[in-house]
Amino acid sequence: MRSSNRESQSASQRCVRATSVFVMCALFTPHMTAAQIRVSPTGVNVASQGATTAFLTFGGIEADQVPADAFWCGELIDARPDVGLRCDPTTLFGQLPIRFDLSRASGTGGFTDIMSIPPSVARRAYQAAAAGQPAAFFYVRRFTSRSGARDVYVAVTCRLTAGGAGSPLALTDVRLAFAAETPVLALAAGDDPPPLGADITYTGTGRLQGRWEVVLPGEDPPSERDLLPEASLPLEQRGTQRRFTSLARFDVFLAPGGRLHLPGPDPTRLPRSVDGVYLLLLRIDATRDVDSESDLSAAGAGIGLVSSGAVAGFSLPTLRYVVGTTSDAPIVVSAKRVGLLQPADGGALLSAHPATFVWEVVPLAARYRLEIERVDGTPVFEAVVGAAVAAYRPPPFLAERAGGAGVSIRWHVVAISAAGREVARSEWRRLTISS
Amino acid sequence: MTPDSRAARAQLLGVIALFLAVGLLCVIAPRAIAQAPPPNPLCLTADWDQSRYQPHDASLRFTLTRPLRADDGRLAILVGNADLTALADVNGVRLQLPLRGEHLADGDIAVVAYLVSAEGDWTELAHFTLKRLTRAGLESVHARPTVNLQSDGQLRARQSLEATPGAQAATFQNVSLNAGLESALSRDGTDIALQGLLVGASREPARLRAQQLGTRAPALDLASYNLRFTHPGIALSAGHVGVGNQRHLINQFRSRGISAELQPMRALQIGVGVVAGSELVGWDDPLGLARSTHRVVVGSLGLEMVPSQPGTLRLDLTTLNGSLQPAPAFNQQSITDREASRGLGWQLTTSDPSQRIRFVAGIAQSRFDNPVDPSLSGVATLVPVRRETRAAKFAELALAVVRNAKLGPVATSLAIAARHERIDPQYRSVAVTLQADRLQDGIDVSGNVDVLQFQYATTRGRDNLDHIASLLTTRSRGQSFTLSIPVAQLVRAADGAWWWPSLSAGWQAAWQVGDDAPENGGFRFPFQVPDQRADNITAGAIWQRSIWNVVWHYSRSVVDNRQTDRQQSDVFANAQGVTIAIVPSPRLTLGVDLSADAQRSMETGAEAHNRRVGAQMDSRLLSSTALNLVIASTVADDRLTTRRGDNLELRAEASQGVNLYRRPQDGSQMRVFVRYARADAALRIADALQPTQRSWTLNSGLSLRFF
Repeated sequence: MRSSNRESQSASQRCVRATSVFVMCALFTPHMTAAQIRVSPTGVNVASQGATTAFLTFGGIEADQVPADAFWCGELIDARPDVGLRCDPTTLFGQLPIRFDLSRASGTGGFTDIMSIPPSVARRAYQAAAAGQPAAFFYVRRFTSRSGARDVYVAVTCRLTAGGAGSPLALTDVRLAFAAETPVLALAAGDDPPPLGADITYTGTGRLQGRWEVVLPGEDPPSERDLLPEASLPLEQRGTQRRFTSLARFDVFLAPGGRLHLPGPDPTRLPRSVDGVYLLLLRIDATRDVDSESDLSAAGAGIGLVSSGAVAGFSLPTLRYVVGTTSDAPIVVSAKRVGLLQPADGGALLSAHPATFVWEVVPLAARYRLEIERVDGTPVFEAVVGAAVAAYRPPPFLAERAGGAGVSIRWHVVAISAAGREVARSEWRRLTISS
Repeated sequence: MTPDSRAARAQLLGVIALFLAVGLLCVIAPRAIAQAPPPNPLCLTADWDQSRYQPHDASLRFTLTRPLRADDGRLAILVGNADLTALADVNGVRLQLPLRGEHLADGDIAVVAYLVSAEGDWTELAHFTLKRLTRAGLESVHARPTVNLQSDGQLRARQSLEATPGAQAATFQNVSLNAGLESALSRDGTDIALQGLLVGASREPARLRAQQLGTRAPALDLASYNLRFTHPGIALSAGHVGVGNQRHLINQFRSRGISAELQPMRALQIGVGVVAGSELVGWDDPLGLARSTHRVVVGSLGLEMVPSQPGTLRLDLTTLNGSLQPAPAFNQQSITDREASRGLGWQLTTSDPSQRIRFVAGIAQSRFDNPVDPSLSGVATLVPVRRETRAAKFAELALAVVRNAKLGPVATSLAIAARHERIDPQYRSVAVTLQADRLQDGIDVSGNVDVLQFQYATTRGRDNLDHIASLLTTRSRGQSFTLSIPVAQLVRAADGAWWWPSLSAGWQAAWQVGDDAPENGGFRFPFQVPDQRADNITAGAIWQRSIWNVVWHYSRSVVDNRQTDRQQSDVFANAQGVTIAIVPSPRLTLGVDLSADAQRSMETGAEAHNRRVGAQMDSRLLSSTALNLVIASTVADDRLTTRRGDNLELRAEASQGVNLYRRPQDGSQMRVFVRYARADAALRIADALQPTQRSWTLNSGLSLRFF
């Protein structure tokens, strides 16, 4: 029923590729040695041409045992006088770099390991296979004893494949970006941000679920742990990461193709109300994936299954944007107001025969400037009007310049003195162009 | 004949002549009047040289062919988007329009004169171009500095340790500074542009590179900059640049560095770029060239074989030499290595003049190596990576079979493309992410019938191109079909017929099947060899009006495992959601999100659910007072993946802008805010939902804009 169960029950078979150590394998298989630590899954399909990440659960760890280093290698040898099978030092492909070591204690006598295989390890394994060696290699985690007892080695088989179906659903490269030329986006007031998204490289296939969140100015930034995909945590720690203001959820299917551009939230929904630095977060939920399951009972670390679809060996990156101004709010700079007469606020403006704009005369004004723009602040039209007129009949093509019927515009009037200074201005009034 | 009779005769002839003349005049004159040429038509000419730049505060002078008459209507002159007729001084046939003090753009501006009839009809009379210098005498100049100072922090907080083990201090204060500059100037075809952004924070976790450097992150850091110089035939850039245009070697690789593009002749383009191995921020390496082990050098040459018709036949050559440390870009995280590669690639593009047939082919060869990485080897001796020289190649043929042809009353287009790609095993270039060991062929069909658009694609591929005996060979197939139907346009509905949605639908299927398990491949059971079909169906609808819109989306996926002992290990997933946005006035925006997804395992019958409802309000109650409110509730029941059961988020923020100067659009402005955020979370242990853990924070801040 479960791969981890089956492989756990046949641990001796995993060792047949090293014929000379077969007997040793039989001696030190988990079910035969009480001191042996177990792992689930015991084997995974990995990409032969790139990185792969898998969620592993080790169980049966005694109180005085602590995890030590982890190596990949092409051959196993008897670890005696220690317990289990360890890497043949002549076939070492690499050790788990500290930067990818997300292992942590979990459950009862359990230990969660996120095995992130660098591409160079897969490359070494591929070259070994091309030279006639088996197309499988091993990940061996060593456990040491504080009380001076023998070390215990536990191995996981990594089978070279295409890295698609049958491999764990795992994120191996995540890059966030706005459709802009710079890594940090600067936004002025009234500017709409450009689109944003995440370029993701992955193994396996399945659903990718999660949400976009934003850290607002004044809030405590997330920790490294908060930025981990949920599937990179042991089950009992999932759901305990801090959450921030949610912008949008996503739920997309990842075909076994290996690359995805995940569109970001609607840029117009990005908060911009106060100045400061905003931090966009990509939060990935754990999803169900039969190739990412870890059987806790098979590992001796609890009961039941843990599914870890969308695991990653790193904290997810963040994306910054800086809001620099706040002048998008209506601005009133003078105590004196220009009183607007018509058209009425919220009214309609016929596109073929636009109504005349009329306002009250301001005594000190030498002329007026009528400004018409879209509600998003895009300038559409303006007109300079003599002091005695206080009215303007716009050209028929005003509606076309504004964008046509259905578009909302706003208008206001600025009164200017003979010296060119602004002496008063009106509030904005809004209109909708109708056909 | 007597003299009297001669005189009488002369008088008689004179009278007859007079009558004849009058009669002739009476006959001819009306025709002559009717056939008189019209008066001189009114024309307007510009008195400035339109090909030359004019002073910033120039007065535009025009000449009319004749004075304006009452029946001509009135004259209107638009400069750019501004009707400046009120400023015009008309004196007979001379017209003068002073621009001093007017808010007009610099550079090229359209000047259009109209005759406006008494009925309000505008008839274009003349169209001119004004090239306006900036105040400094440049053809254009633009400078936009910004300096912002903020003080914000957390006033109070209550953190639930179990729900938020990553929580930091309950109270803190941070002072941050953001300074930016955007500037550009041009003259005589030379353009110089500079953009930069500095970001500073007093509190360590809030600093730009806190995630990379921890406590060593500088308080004031360089977030980005770009300096660009262009002159006909040459373009130089420093800062954040994108380089390369070869899909298998380097393709718009974005990083910090320098680049140059030269065009010594019309048909030849030369490019050179040196950039850091990944996108950087900060002061440490301003040009991105400091580390030779983390640098990419690229050169390119583009040659148009038919200079008179660019695109007819073009050859591009690209060369690359790069080396990477295991350090991803600033906005990136990945499983990285130390890498080095050298490569050479060419690409040939050809098309007919109408672009109906287009063919692109390219080959790249890359020599790749993994240098020694101490973080991977430690003190151990690793099996060395053998340096490999491998190739990648592709070819694409696209044919526009039907281009805007009429199918009955509607326009129809159809395009077909065939593509082939082979990437050798072990092929790798440091500047592009590819899936190596892949042979893939595909056909794409796309087109439209009226406003209905469709696209179909099919692919077939395999791996293990080296035929390694112990390596599993996996064969892949894929098909996809997408359809877009804007119903309102399709049925020619009136503008107000909002009930017609814009529909979209898609289907995607992928098969991956492994050949027989190879000996020495590590496969012990049949289920370990992939044999899977995955289907995904999507649908969406959008209803849109000026003050509201509704978006609905749905997707369903099925992962069908077909291996022996795994036929039942199938997973079904459904997800759908609705988003409603309403903008009843410029001062108020409302939004509601509803979403639900479910997954079901065929093997166990177990189901998992996630449901979310959220609401958002943005309001400007007064002219400079803003209020934002967000509330969202999520209920999850997926015990295999998470313990988070119920989750409630609430955020309320009020901010007030204060104008410090009389003309805030040119001066400073201040804004203060206060924000309350609350999160309630209930964790699930086995079948039981635990008591709700509540945490909340109270934040406030003040921002000051100097520019």
